[in-house]
Amino acid sequence: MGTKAYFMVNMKKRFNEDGYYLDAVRELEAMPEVESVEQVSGVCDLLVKVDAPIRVIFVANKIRAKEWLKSLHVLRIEYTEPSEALKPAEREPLKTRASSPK
Amino acid sequence: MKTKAYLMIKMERENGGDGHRSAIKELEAMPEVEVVASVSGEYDLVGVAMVDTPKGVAGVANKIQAKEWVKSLHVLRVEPAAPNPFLDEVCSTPGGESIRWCAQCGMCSASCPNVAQMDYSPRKIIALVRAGRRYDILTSNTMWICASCYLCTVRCPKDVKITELMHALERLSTRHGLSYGRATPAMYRAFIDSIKNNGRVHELGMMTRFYLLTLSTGKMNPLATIKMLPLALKLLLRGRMSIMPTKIKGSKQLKTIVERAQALGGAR
Repeated sequence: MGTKAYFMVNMKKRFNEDGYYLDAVRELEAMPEVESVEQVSGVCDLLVKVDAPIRVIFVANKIRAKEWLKSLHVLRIEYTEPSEALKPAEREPLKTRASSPK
Repeated sequence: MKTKAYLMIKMERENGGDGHRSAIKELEAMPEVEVVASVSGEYDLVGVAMVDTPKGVAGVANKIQAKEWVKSLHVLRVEPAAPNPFLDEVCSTPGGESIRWCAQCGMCSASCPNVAQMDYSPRKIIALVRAGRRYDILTSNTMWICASCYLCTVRCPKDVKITELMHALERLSTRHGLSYGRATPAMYRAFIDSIKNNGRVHELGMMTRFYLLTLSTGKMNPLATIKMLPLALKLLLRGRMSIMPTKIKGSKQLKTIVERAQALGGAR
């Protein structure tokens, strides 16, 4: 089953240090499971959106192996139930013949 | 230009049912919030907000923070990509615009028959352009070693015109005066001068000019000219090479064309 997740990535060095950040972004973008990589300011350095046909943990382990990585937090996107308006209307139960003529 | 921000929300109550759903509905009702996703991990909800000004992010965050079901909120503001004037310069050159499509698969480097002689492989050249290393690229020999065989272009899965890119880098290197003393640009210059003056190549004059251009920099071995003497003598004796240049008809028009191309930004 395919899984979607956000990875919050913290890097060892500062941004834009001799193209260091760019190299890391290129590496992430080259991964087929990675949908988008965005440089953010806040509690993490990069926000990576992953759409993987495999379990997210395998993709996370791939990224954890990179030497420039300091820490990685996984936020798995859960399945949310569709709202009432989007739910299909309840069908009436099928009528069955009470007795068939013999 | 709009500012994008991710709003990482931790909810007060852990009930995943109606409370969760109503929180998503509340967030979706906000005009600035484009997408809301329920996540598991350090946070419970992730919202994507688009605001007109960077300050607007704080306003949206304050609005969400005021809701009673929010325990904590962290804002991740998406930073604009770092400016790279060299990448823009290469992209604005004819043939260089395809550099943004490269996926760094390395097919070009694997296909190149001359890669062993290059300072940087074609894949590395593209990575360096993206990193903005102008001087490293324009002083390297990669684009001058390129034989324009088009094998990389044919095999590239992303249709990056690598040969055209090499030509674009050659032009940039010449324009910035970083190709001085290299054999290939010296040969180009000698060839163009010969064509410009006579309308056709005058081999003796072209090679003399080529050796003068390269010898003056001290990068060329002076013995290389002596090695070529027996061949030159043979060509002269068999009438394959003339001592005096011969002009073609309409050489003036051709000279005008070359000068016009140079005025438009062609290498001099």
